[in-house]
Amino acid sequence: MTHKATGSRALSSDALARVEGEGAMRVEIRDGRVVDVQLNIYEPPRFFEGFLRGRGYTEPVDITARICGICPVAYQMSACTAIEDAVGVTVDGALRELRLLLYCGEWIESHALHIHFLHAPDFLGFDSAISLAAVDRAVVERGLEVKRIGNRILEVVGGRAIHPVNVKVGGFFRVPTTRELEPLRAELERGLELAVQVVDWVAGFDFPDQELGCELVAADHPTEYPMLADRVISDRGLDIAAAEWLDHIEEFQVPHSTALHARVLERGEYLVGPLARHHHHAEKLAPAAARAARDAGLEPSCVNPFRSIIVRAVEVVHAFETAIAVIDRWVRPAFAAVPVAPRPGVGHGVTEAPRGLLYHRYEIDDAGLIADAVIVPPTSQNQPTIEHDLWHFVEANIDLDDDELRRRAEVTIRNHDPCISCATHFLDLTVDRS
Amino acid sequence: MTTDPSPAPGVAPVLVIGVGSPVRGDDGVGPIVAARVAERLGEAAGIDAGVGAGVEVRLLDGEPARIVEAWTGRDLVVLVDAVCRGEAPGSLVRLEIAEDSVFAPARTPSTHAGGVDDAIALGRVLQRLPGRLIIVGVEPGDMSVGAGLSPAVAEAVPQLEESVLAELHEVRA
Repeated sequence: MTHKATGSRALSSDALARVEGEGAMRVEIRDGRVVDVQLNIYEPPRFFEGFLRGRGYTEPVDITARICGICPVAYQMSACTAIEDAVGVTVDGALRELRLLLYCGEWIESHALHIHFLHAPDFLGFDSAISLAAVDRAVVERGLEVKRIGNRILEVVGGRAIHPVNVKVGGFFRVPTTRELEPLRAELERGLELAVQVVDWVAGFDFPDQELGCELVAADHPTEYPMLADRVISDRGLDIAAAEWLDHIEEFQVPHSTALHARVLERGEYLVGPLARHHHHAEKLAPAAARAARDAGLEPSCVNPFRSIIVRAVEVVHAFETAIAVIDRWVRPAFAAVPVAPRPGVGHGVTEAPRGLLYHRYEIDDAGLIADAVIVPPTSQNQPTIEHDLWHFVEANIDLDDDELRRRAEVTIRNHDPCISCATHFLDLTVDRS
Repeated sequence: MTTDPSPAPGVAPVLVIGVGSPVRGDDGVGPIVAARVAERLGEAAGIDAGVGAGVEVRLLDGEPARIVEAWTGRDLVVLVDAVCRGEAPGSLVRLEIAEDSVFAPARTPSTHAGGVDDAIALGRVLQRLPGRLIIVGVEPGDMSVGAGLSPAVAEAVPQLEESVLAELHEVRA
């Protein structure tokens, strides 16, 4: 990565050629005090909103799946629910169950990646999962195996692991037979066992004391730990239908980032993701996940961002149990999708991506084309909170040298698993102490 | 390099991987070339699944663990990717990842956050590298979101496709 030093003290990341502007962080220090922290993480949804206008009403499902290779299912699920909302269709029963199963695969894969390849090395004093594997090959192999089994769900239900092709508005192109799900179930049982071990492993890490003070926002479902949902709640009184999103959540431009940031209109910055989900829905965890959380000493409301690794590990257990339960209940429906005819209107969709709530809104015109699209990904919602978190961190550690400051700033960011977490390994950090 | 863990039964011994994102300009060249190779192999084998005799083709986004998972237990892997080496856009490069460079800083410059180079390092440490690993790359020009292939890279696509097929033919001959 190249970096131009312009007066301020500048540092550059590992000298690997790669896409410019993937991640950048700028810290300005004057007279020993932090006066500005700016984080810019590459986020493509803005481009996609424009790209979707004028496309057919069935197209956002496939197009938005390409925004992220790690969470395509989340984009598909929020897109489907928003469009189905616009045209007045409800997808429930076995088809909704199959969507849950697919979503479980993505939670498992994404969380296993973050836990083992991005987050755990921070706690264990390694610069990467590669150095960790050199010392403890077994834990990395176990992580890979958990991830692989999550991936299997995406292959069996989604048609393939990256950008699943089997999903459409109204349901699926094809639904699996009981017989096709049987071998998957056996693998999921094994995954569940490994996932419980992973909770035990991460619970033994040393966690710095820290508590976030921001509002916690999550999707809401009356009985389920939310993946698919249609309401949004917070710990400070927010309790709204997806359709009321824009009345309460505001996206705003900041000069230093191409991504929009978000805030609760009445109050300000907030957090979405595992900590928020767990805070609101811990009592809805599946039995083994609840047990693992208890054994790990996870408090019912945990707002220490470092301990989010435990919550992710518990959510992996929950996802395995949910997936197994779906397979056990599975009765193959007679149809793979409900018919969906276009009609003009506006629809909203909220679902829980692994890294937090993902909101989509589509306006469909008389011709069945997308007239307007709004996509609010979890990372842009969390960005003000991450910057705030960084600000406090830098202020408390202002005397560290720039290298150590960068390393620990990256850890602070990784706690929040921003979209394309790996981008935080490539932070172009500028510390301006002039 | 290693045969541990063993390939699962039914896994094709030869794998072509196209790495990249189709929405980021020249970064999409890997999947484009791999898809063309799959079509050619499919035609040759009289099938349309992109799997010729003993050859599988996969399109991946560059996430290292997925790459390691995909190539574990294969005899030969030919990986197509945009490779940044500071040369003119469209310049071709062929790299064979050497057996004896374990832990050497032989990082392959790639365009993905923690991409092919991390996959190689991880594969080494986990003893999960394929028997032979050949990277067929092209220097990208424009990798902005929403851009198609730049002219220089688009022009290189047929040659990249032939290079991949040549690697496959060589091993079969």
